[in-house]
Amino acid sequence: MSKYLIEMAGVSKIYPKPDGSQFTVFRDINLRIKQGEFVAIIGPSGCGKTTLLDLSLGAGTPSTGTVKFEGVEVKGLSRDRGIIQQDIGLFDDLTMLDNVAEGPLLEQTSFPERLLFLPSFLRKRKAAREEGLEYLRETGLSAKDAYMYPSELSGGMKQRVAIASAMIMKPKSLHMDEFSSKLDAGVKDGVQNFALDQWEKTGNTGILITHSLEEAVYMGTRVIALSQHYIGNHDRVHGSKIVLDIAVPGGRRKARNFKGTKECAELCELLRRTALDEDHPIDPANFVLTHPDVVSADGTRR
Amino acid sequence: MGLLLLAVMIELMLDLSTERGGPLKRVCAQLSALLISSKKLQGFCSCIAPFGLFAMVSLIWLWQFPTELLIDGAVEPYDEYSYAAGPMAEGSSLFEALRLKLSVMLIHTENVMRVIESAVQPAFVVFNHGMHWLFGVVFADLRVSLLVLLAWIVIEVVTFRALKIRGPLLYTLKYLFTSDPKLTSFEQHVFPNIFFLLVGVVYFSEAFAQTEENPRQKVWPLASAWLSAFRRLGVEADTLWVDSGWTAFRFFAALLLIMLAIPIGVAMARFARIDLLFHRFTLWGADKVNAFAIVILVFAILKGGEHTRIMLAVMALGPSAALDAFFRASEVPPRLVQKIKTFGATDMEVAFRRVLHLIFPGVINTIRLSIKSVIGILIFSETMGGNTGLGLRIGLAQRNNAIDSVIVMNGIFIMGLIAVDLALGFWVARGFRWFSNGRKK
Repeated sequence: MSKYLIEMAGVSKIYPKPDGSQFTVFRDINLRIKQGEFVAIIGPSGCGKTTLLDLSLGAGTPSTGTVKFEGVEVKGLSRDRGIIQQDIGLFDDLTMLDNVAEGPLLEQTSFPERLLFLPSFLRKRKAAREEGLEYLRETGLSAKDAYMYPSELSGGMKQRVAIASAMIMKPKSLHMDEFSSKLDAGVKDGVQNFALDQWEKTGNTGILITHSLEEAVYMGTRVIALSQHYIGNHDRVHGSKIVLDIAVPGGRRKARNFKGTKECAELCELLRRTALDEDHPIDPANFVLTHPDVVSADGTRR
Repeated sequence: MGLLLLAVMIELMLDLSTERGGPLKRVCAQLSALLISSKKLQGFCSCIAPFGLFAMVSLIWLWQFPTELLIDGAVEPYDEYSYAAGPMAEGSSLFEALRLKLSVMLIHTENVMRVIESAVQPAFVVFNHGMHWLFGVVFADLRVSLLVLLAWIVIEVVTFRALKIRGPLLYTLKYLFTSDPKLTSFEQHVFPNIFFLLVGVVYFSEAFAQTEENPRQKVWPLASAWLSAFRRLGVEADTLWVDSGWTAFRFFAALLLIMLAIPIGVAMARFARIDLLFHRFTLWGADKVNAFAIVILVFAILKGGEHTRIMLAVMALGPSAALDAFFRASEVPPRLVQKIKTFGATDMEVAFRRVLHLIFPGVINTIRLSIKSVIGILIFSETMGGNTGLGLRIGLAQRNNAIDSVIVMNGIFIMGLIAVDLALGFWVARGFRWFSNGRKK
């Protein structure tokens, strides 16, 4: 068994363009993520954050390089890797309870069983719903709200349910794609803390894509910045690179008021200067790669 | 007794057309408020009571008539005999008399209708003269008709605004059993009825003119004439139910097969090989061939059996339903599919447990919109071949210019289609509550 949960070695993603040329999203990404880490990935628009997340999830295949999960090459989506999406990602046709219970139900019952062995299916559905109700209670949803449809509840509540629906599968890694970007500030804090509570309770690995530097620093134990703006990348021919990879001080769970601290502000400023300042591209010699698990392009540890 | 019946009918008109209902309804509302605690039940009782009274008075009124008159159909509208209180029905006991009377009334419904028509003779005479004036003078000219319609809308606005009274023509079934309909503006009851009235005005003005010219031309038959046609077809000839049954069988068999097109459409969207197999044929073949245009061809090739008629009806809508399902299933966000796959779902489960359920009510609504074409081709194919079906009867009736029969059979089609549409709509609203909620937003 590999020491790392997720390993990316020499990963590139290149798309062909209509004119016959190629567009390189990123090239030679080397990344190792341990079990239990919470990795926040930031970067300017179009740098390939979501593509990187998709590769780690198994929703896409790299043009070159390998992506491994628990030492085994990733070949597709799996129940070990959960996803929480920007646009909520709940099924409109299911109640909140059924949205949460859908995962276990799918896992425990087959399509023919549903058609041919109805009593067995109903028994399993009852058990899945009971389990789902346990998770829903943690989201703060009342038993009555559990039978409401997504269109009938607020965005914050829906996102909590989306988190619960992913967590109920007890995935080894949870991949979050700007999951709070569409929420109001007050609601956002609640959802972030709920996600952190769940992560802390289960001890699984989290990968978060975000545009919010504050969110990255508050939630992540490690922050990675991906950027195409570095010296020597004219016309983006080389694609994005990891320009920053740091451990965030404060441990697995930071104080609730961490966002307002000087430490948080300084970290955010470092991230902004390194990864997001498009007017001042960073010299590759000055990439901030201080995390212990940072690997060089040839795969050796720094 | 006739006057009592007339009074109850006026009460009903008041119930339907005014904000507070007639005096009887208000008394019933007060009584039910005293006796029943449930608000909904109170409303229902106060609304249903005048109808109950109407039914009771009608029964008593009919009770007076000699049974032979009902059997012979001797009672004609304006027949002075209808005013005379006839002897009680013959029979050894009250129960026997009641049984006899009710069975006669059920068998000779059209005579019962004649009795009712004669019972309300004063209103009927006024109504008939009014209609004569309306359709013979006012609505004879379409321009005058439109002016009258405009005037009616103006009157509606004025009465609604000033007196809070609704126009008597404007109630729909929806408000019939509601004690407090909460209509807040005149638009809510004027606008939905304008086109119904326009069509009615155009049809009745033309029909009246033809009936005036040639009384045998039954394009504007009275209710008793309709019922007479109904009896002729359904009771005496005994073909109406058999034909309706065959048409219903073909229609529901076709509908079932059309429903099967939905999972095929989903499979086309989710599985590349199924798409290769069906897509081109469905899009460029089956969907573009008009079933009406190839009826003869299909009859010749398939030898015109029962399955031919059903397949023609399926052809009218099946390919479109499959393509609608295909397009809707293709639009399901890939992120949702990803999510379901992170639950460990197989491709089959993604397609038929999630995507199918997500798109199903939308496709059902498309089928609801286009179901008329299934009936159209069914009528046509029944007319072309075979010896059963309402389509065949409609064809024969039209050839013999039996307009009253055509109206009755079309009435069955319309009622059937409304029932199917209501059933499908109810299924979507109750079975897929999330879909209805989403649309309301």
